[in-house]
Amino acid sequence: MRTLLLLALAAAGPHFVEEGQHAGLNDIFVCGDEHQKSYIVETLGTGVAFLDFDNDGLLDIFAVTASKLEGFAAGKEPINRLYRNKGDRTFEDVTKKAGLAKAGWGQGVCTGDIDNDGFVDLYVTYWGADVMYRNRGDGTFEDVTPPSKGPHWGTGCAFVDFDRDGKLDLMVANYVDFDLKNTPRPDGPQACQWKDEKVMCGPQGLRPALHQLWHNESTPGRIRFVDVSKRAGIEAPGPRYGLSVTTLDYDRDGWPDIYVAVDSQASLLYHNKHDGTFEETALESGVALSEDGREQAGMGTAVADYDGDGWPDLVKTNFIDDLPNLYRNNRDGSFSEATVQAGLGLHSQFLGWGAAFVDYDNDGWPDIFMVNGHVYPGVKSGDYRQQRLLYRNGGRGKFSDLSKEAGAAVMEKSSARGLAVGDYDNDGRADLLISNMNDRLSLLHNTAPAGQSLTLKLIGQKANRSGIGAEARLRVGQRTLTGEVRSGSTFLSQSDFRLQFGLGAATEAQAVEVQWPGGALETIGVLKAGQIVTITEGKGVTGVTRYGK
Amino acid sequence: MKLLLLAMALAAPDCGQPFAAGMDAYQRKDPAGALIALRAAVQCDPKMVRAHLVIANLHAERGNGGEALGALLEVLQIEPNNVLALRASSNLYLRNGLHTKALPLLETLVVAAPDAVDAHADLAGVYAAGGKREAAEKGFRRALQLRPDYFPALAGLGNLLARAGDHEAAMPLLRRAAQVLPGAYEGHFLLGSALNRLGQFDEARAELELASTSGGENEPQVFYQLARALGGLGKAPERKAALAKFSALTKQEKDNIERQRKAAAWIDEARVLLQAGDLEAAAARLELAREAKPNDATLLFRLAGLNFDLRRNDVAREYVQAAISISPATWLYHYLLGLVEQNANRLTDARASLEVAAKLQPAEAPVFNALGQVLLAQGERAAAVTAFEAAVKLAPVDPAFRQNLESARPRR
Repeated sequence: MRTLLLLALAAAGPHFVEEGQHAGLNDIFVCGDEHQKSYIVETLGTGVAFLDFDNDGLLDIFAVTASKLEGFAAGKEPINRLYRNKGDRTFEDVTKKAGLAKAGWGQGVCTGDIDNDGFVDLYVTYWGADVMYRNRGDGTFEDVTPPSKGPHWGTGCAFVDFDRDGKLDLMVANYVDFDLKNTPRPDGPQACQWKDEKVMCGPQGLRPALHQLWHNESTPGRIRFVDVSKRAGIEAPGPRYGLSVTTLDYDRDGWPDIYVAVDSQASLLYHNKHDGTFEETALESGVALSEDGREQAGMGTAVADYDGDGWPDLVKTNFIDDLPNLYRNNRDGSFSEATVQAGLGLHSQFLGWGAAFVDYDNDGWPDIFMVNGHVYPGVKSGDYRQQRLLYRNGGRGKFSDLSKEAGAAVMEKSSARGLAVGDYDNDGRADLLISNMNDRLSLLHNTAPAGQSLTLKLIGQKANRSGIGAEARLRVGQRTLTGEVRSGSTFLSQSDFRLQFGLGAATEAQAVEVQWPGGALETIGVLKAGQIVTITEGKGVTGVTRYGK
Repeated sequence: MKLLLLAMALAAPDCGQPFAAGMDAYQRKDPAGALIALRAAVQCDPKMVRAHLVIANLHAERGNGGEALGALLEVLQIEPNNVLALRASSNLYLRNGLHTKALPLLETLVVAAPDAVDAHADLAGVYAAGGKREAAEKGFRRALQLRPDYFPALAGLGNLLARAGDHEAAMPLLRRAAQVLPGAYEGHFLLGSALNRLGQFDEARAELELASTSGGENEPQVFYQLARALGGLGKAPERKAALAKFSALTKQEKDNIERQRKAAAWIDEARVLLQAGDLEAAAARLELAREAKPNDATLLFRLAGLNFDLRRNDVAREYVQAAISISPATWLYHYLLGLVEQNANRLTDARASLEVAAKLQPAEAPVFNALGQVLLAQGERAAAVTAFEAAVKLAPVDPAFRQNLESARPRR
């Protein structure tokens, strides 16, 4: 009966309401020309992050901007923005005060506490030179960027403690070894074509890039990251058009592995060999290609246990005229593509970017949200602005398209790229933050009729302070719900570190346990729904806040 | 062949002589002669649809898709609803993956020939590739109404439904497709892939192994699906071998694409070098491009032209003859060969080539001028005067042609 009630509630809408402008998110985030993309660098858009930079328990927002090729007048350049959550569903711009007012061709963002001081730090990728910011803990940031080999085109990134030494390392995907001077323009004699229309060139025909793994060798008072890409085996597969980075322990051996969604080539799965090195296994594991063995234009990625078997599954968005991939974990180190069987084979008319598993209705089954938008404005063969997609997980591995029912905010058309998930008003329902090309951010407030939920904030002690890589397991009735704290993922974006579990009609999780990176298993007893619970490694529950407080 | 008979039946009395000569050459299996005569026929009557159609057929038979398409588009300019041209041109576009170009032709074709089963299936295939699922399904179903065992429609609809997750409806169609055309790998491949999706790995393996021996031995995706089936059956070493085969075939495909891409880049570089006057370096780049595209007539012609400019007559002759063997009805190639032979003082050969060029393109003054020069050198003053007169008539303002004519005319 309760299940029926939840199903009935799930059908009512709207489930999301656009609140960006009301919340004060009125800045325009730029990526090249609005009407004509002459170069591929103008097409990727930029990322967004939900983070709590001042540890006040409220999610703040960081948004990245790129620029325009013709540039801006001095002082008029667009800059990345940090918005502080005022606690009343509105935000204030604190960028300059925080020392983050940087112009440039920004792309992606990921977060993690690199010095384990309890304050979350930032990494921003650029076409140019990436920047690492350390959070001083007083509302300001300092540039602690490690020396790099020179300009490149960084895209997705993720902090991950790959050697389990308690310090967060960093994986950065790079896209194209891009040189404006040697790349043909659509209005030139060597223009490229898509469906018989002249368009910008790439990535095919341009030189792909190598990806980077940075090892954290910081000591108290000194941030130090060392490029270990070559010796760790990251460069072994050769250069690829890398976009999003997500981390997951796909074989559940306790060591984090890394997945890189790759555009127009086979995607990469780096299996952690426990000795500081990785082996690339995407083809053998079944996550390199489409179901037919075709290379795809992989964009965004997300990980969750969508079928409730306790093993992490993967979803990836792709180019137009293609389907996304839903890779179901076979629990033997391999995946099977389940896209069509799961109901995600409905739409090939969208060009997908950010993707996230989000249990928007708190029924205990991770749903999928995807944002879309074309790379070529003005082509006849595809809409530049496209709707978003909400697939509701009905359990047992089946999804249904609930986009229309979810309301105008989901159906709104934009050329969207970045996507982050987080409960910015702490009401127990996951909200969504979207970056749109040359437009304002969209903030989709979750108003869906939803079940109970429980939010866990995990703080590492021996493990990294952000708890990245920690897995929480909740027993709810006959089911075990799992969630992992993760940096990066989606597309160029960062979601909240807190794990929000939908409990359906249950008012509590009967048992909670946390597997910390490094192997320690911590058992917590019963936890009631309707609250945000802080669990500190080795200390159990160290804080409880009721929703809405 | 049907095309040929139809074209013969439609032959009209005017300009019929070169057309008849062309058809005669065609039947004698002399495609070069046929093309030359048929080009003369369409110059005589540019609206002679039957000649354009046979020209298209001849080019298509020789693998010159671009030229075949050119002839077919001529037909469609004259008769926009010509079923033969619509069908053949849409096929050529589809073969090259140009779905958006094929789409309007197929949409016209299904109206012009509503019972053309292949047109409905092809159009449905284009819709399917463009994500227009409902229209695709309708088209495939119409084709199956017209011919229930039509393989492309069985396979296309089965695949469409399988991809939409409707395996109940898809499987009978895919099984039937594999039965209808057991010697084609596509049916077994699609059936095997659908069986993989259903977890029926034993049967999937059997179908995919059949696919790999029925023409799919060089198709990487067959081995990818086979690896999936073997993985499902827990056969790790065999799966590894199938994946290795997949990787090797994929690499081959990629290497080929890369060769073509490099060739295009070398041609671009050659163009820049040529503009800068560095003929030697330009020729070297084109040589590199030729290794990747040995049967590209345009490239061979460019190489011939460069070597002609570099006064390497033997090399130029070799290249332009190769270009002519691929595309015998291109007047420009014969013209260049004529110039090469003229330079080499091989006047008989020069004359023969220039006469062919003049026949193929009677509106180019330089051809007649060169022919006049060769004839004059052969001592045939009267014929030379006629050729120079033709050149002057075509380009009355060119002083060189006029001067040649004046010099050739007997002094009074």
